[in-house]
Amino acid sequence: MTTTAPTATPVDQADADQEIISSVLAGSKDAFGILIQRYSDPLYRHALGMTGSPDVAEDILQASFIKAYQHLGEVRGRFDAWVFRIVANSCKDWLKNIRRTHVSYEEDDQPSSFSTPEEEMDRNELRTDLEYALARLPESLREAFVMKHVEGRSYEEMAVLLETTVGALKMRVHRAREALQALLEEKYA
Amino acid sequence: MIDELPETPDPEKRPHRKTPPATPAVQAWLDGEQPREELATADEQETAELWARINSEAEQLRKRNTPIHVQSRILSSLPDTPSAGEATGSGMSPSVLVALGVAILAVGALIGFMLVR
Repeated sequence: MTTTAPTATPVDQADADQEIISSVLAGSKDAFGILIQRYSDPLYRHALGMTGSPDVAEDILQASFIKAYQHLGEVRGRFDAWVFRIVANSCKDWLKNIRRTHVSYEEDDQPSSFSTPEEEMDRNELRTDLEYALARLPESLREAFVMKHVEGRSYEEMAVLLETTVGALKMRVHRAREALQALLEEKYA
Repeated sequence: MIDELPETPDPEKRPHRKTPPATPAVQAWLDGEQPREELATADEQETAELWARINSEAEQLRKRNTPIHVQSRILSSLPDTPSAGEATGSGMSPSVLVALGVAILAVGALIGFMLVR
């Protein structure tokens, strides 16, 4: 006979997070490690999907958690949504900076920051092409596509995290799919 | 009955063309709102086939986890104490507090000047 572990609801999770935050603020620095362990994977995947670079994703994750720790007393509402916004904004800032530093930036010469050649060697060709195509999408479309298809989030969850409506997000994901399809179909259709 | 079968052109003879754009039905399938079987046309099936491959790769990306060393690196780089947040309480930034202090001093000086006169 198998038993199913009870699944934590967002409310339960938020309460549990709040308890951890209280104990961190009371001086238990190590308790913050529980929050890192709990949320680092989805946040890392988001940063990786947005930047295409494992190194950059690690740096953004580290800087974001440090920022979250430094401002922990300012958390209002869900910690996961709050820290997600820190990571998401850091990704957008990084994308803006990298575009600013590439003066001759055009769609066709977007800096290839996905990974080192060594890392790419083992990758499936379509996956590499998908990452390349993702990097050519406008930020808002890339963000919506990554959250929906790479992170596997529901529209409702995305709406909470991005503080927008389900309808607006559906529109962005649909447009992202159309753009990605146009970029990939020449090779794979 | 043969007339009702969907047209299946010979791939060898079919000229290369772009995949048909994702119709609302394909988008609904990708959003998990309807099963793939409900995609009626050959064009929709062709688009769905491309998206099945893209989704398969996206799911591989979903399996990536934070490298083990990163979590410990973050923990070891945390500063000693977090901000309590309630310290300022008023929610005003330091610059606003300074400006408020200067304004109070100015008003006090003005009142003092008027009283002396």
